[in-house]
Amino acid sequence: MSSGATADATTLANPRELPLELPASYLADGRTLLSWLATTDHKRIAILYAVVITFFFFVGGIAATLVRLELFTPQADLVGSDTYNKLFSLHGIVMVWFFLIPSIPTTMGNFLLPLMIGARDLAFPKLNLVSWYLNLGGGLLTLAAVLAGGIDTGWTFYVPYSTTFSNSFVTLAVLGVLVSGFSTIATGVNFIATVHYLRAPGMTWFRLPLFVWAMYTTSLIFVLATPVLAVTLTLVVAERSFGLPIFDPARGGDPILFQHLFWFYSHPAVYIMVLPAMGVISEVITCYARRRIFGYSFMVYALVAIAMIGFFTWGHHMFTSGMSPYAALVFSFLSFIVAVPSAIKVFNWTATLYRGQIGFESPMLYALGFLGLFTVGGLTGLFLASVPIDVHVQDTYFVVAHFHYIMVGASVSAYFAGLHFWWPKITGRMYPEAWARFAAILMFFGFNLTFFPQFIAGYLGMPRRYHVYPPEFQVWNVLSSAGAAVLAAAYLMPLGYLTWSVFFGSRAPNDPWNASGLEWRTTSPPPRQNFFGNPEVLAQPYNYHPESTPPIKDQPRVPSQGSLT
Amino acid sequence: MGNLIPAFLKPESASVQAAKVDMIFTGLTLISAGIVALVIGLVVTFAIRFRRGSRANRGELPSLVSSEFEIGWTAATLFVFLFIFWWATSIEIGAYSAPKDAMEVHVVAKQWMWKTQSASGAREINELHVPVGAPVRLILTSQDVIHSFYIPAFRLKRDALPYQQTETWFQATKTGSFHLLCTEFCGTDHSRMLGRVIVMEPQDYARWLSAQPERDGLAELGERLFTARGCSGCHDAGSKVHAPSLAGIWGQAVPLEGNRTATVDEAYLRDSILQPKRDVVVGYEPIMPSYEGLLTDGEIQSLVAYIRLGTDKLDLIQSLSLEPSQNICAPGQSSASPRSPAMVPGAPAQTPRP
Amino acid sequence: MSEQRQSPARAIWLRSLVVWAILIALLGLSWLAAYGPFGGWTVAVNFGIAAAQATLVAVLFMRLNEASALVRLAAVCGLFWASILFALTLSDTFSRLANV
Repeated sequence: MSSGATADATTLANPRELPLELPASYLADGRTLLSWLATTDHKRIAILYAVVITFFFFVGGIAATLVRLELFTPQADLVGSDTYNKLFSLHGIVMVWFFLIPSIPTTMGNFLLPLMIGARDLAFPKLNLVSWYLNLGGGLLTLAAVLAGGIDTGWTFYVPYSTTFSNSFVTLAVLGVLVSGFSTIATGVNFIATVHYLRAPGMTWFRLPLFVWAMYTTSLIFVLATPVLAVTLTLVVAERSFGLPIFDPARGGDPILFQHLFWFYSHPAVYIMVLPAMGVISEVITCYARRRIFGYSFMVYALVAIAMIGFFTWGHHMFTSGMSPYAALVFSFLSFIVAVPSAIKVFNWTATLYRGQIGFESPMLYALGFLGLFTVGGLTGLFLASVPIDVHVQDTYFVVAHFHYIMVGASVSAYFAGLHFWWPKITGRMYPEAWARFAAILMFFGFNLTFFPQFIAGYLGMPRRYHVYPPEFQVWNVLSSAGAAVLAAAYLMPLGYLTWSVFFGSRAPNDPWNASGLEWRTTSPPPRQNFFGNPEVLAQPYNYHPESTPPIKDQPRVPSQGSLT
Repeated sequence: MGNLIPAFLKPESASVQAAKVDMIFTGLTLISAGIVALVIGLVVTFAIRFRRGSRANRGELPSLVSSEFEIGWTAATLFVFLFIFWWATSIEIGAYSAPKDAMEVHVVAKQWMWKTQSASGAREINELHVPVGAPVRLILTSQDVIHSFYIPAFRLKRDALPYQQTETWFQATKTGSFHLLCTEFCGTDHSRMLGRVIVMEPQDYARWLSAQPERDGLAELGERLFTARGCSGCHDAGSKVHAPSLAGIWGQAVPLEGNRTATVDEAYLRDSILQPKRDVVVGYEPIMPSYEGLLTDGEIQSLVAYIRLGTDKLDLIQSLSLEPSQNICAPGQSSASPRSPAMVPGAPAQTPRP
Repeated sequence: MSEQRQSPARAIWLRSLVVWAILIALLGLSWLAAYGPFGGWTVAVNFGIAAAQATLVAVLFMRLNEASALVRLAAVCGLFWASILFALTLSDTFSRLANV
């Protein structure tokens, strides 16, 4: 193995650290700001994305904190109604489009996809940089809307309120989302081309790690669904800013048309938010259980099935809009069908633990939390797919709790699991494990305390987007807000110790977790060209034990996926 | 099975549909609890039993665990989910159409209030009185944005759309007063758009009905003029123009520019309509156009009668017929702008009167 | 593929700009057609113009006429996905009409 060592190839070094010779790292490959802002290295672009989405995570989080503070009491005491409406709209728009949708694909996907398939970079590196600028531009436009006075339509922009009645900065915010949509389309195109064309020798489709499959299916949704959002938002801008009659019922339009167009994108969008999380969990659970994934091919088919069937189910957001019972029936049926592959995945992850050698490192704690929270969230989706129950709980806190269980309980847990799992690879540093475990456990309990009472409040009839509410809902709101405080602490902790680790964490070896996967067959952090040599794949992924025997003893991973020569 | 849910975890069950919804909800909760218990139980069991270094047996996987097993549990999951779908749907299908003899109630939603009118002619704001045990068919529309009519106790919700009618029905099984809430975000006071549905015994309902006031014909005419001549374009809530709301101002003392006050009476209103720039209320710009020469004396009288009765006390339930002159959707829009009542190509030009 | 006498980048720019100019011209045509005396045929005329624009993009921009069967299949899948949107949306709209 060539070491390519240089004396000062490190960055952010602890001055008390010994000046060991360390291999060249992508972090040291250019030290100016321009080398970062004009980079085409997928790894640096992943870091750029991570900075932006972390910023937006905390912006959305502050909005959520203010919302939950206001909801401590049934009356209005913290903010006025218009401000409250702007706060929850800000929370939704920022969290959905500027945190969750980009989160795993643009940070971990960008960083790891080429590494996992043995490539030097993505298929279109410059397009990757353009994607980041589009994301940044969209984010700045939306921030401009917020600073100018905010938008109060909710993240769903329902017409005619957003086109005709709202007095807030709808066009500006909508343009921000539109621009960032193009960022994701470009990323999707990039990923699809990369997986098709840049796999290393020996990396066949059914030897791909499940994270790569997850990125691939997510990219399919990106390119098929996001253009519809672009069109829909363009129509909203056309009606609001140019007065063209499109949805306005007074001039022959139909507000329900907007709902169909919007949800045709936004339902697959939730699968954009969950498929990458599932990919991460597959990687983490196999590593810390020292087991091959149970039912690899079913896991692949499940990912593809969720991506495809998810396009047919959007009407379940509109059951109470006066939809005909026949259309409602079709959408309800399809919504039940799409739950089946997700259930299969949960069963397979559970079975992967069977006869494993399970460790409880912090990524595994996040992954186990994911299993519980995703199961609860997914099952409450069945409640919402049943039309009579949906009629009662639509637009109440039951729905809010359901989607937060999946988007926060599952997706954000998986994001943190992946962040911790690949942190040594990305930064070359280890984080303090005790703090990480504490944060993971705190997050699990804080999350449940925040969102489980919302199921109850929702069934009791508390509507969502309510600034003031009837007093009988107060106890559940107080519980929820208390939980939110715990959850906020649990999210701030990683910000603290992960930042600390970048400066003072101990240096990470190439493969601290003894994991399979090509990304661990190179240095931590990797060099600019990803590998020292040409990787070649010799066998199935998740080679934690020989195929027919489970890990009888905790044995080192059988080396089979690639090498460093 | 619906009464397995403890009372503090559900709203009152006050309609026929509520009992059925609670039943499916309970069933689904039990099934879900079972699945969650299974998954979490297995995860915890495996995590403890197969923790790294434990001496549990990790021999060859039993032959039971194979691809047939996977297909088996996939099929089982599919059947369980399809069963739930069938069960929920059977309740929904039966409940969709109102019985033929249902009592009809028209609901008009607007920012930020509910206006209801029953077939017997009783009109109410933010309230609806109905007799217990009788099926009630609701026909809903909106005067501005999308609202949603939600009665948690009845497990009932239907969106009210502008320029369209939506329909639903319920049959109350308990007397009492129940929350009516708006559940489609509609602007500033979305969370204050509360109402009550009051279910009464049939004889009480009959007594209540006979006590409803007669409508004042002059005020009704005034209300039509108010919208037709564009007054509501500025004075309605939700207008982009900063104009005072006229609800409840009759008899009030209003502060004027120059440290004066005026009492809102017939003379003041007449002056405000004909010479609006003379006595402007503090906090408002003198932008109201004058209606000198545009309104006859009789019309001004009708408008005054309307404001005297209270602009929020009368409503235009006949706006449900969607006549252009009476259902102005957007602020600033007048009845003169052409509008197509058809929502889809080929629909009849005039929606049939309910 | 025809020989490029200019540099490849210039050829790409030229082709794209020409296609874009024709698309804008067709957009202008559809704007004019909205005011034209077509009566009930306005929708058909505008659909025709849209079809022309789509064909232009498919042939000149995406070069589907020269592409392999697999690439054409991928393009057709895009149409299929749009048809999911149209079919299920219209199923709701038309069945509402039936209820009115």
